[in-house]
Amino acid sequence: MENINQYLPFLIPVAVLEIGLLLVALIHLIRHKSVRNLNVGVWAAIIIILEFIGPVLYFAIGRKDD
Amino acid sequence: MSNLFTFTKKELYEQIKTFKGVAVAAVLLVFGMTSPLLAKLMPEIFKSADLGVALQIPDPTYLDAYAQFFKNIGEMGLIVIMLVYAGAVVSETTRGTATLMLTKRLSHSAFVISKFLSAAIVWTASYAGSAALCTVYTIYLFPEGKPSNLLFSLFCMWLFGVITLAAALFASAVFKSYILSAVGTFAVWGLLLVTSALPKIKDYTPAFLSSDNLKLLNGACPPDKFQIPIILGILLTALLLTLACIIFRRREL
Repeated sequence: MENINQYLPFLIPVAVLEIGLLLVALIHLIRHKSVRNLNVGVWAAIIIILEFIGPVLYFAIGRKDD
Repeated sequence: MSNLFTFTKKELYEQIKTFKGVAVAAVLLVFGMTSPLLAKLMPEIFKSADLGVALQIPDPTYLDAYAQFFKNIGEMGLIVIMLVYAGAVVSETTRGTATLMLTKRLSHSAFVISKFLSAAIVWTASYAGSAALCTVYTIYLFPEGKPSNLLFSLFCMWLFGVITLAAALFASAVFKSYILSAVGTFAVWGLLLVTSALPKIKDYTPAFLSSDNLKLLNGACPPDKFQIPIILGILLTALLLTLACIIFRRREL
């Protein structure tokens, strides 16, 4: 475990970016509650389950324009 | 010309507003950071997994860090790029907003090219950031050993990304739905990758840029060998974009 702690300063920015992207996608989805293709529930699952690709797919094809 | 400039600027702004460009940048930056880390931590991960057999894993070097980086960017990174930009033109033609733009003294070609330029700017900036992070992390985690031709090797991957973007824009301008455009993009990309496995042409195809650029770092492959793939890569980009413009001009919107 000691070893992992040593790399924490490197891991934190990675986690921040990853979780940040996931949250931005989820918050956008919850606030707009309407999507192109599929439905809101399926998109929420895609965003959470598919790391990276999920939020990217949501912004590319799921999100509805304002 | 000024139309092209204004529209590219508008596109860039749009990419930030719709989070598409932001998502691309975030994914690439994460790869830049995780690749050297993964290379460094891989032996530890194997050790803690305790597979029952004593595995002899050689100590990782800076080469493993860049190998991870090029693998991540060349596969996952480019897949993300393709998924995002396969919809660049299609999303506007299906919504009907393209017709609106094109009546405003913006030519069809300028429309397609400005989409490509804005995508290329996002790719370049995100890739540069990602490569910089990867280099800094690698220098810190693997202080011993110095890669040769690092910038040139990174450039080769960048150029391959630009070719991929041109393929995405081409498919996006030709097809009428996002799914078709995405399939088309992957088809062009897949064909390109297949050429890197064919014995007679594998040293000349643009796919060589992403398949062999790692060999530049330890001097296993001289930089001269990349001349033809680079020239062909630039020509292919120009060809894809020209075809995209010609076909898009003739399309009924």
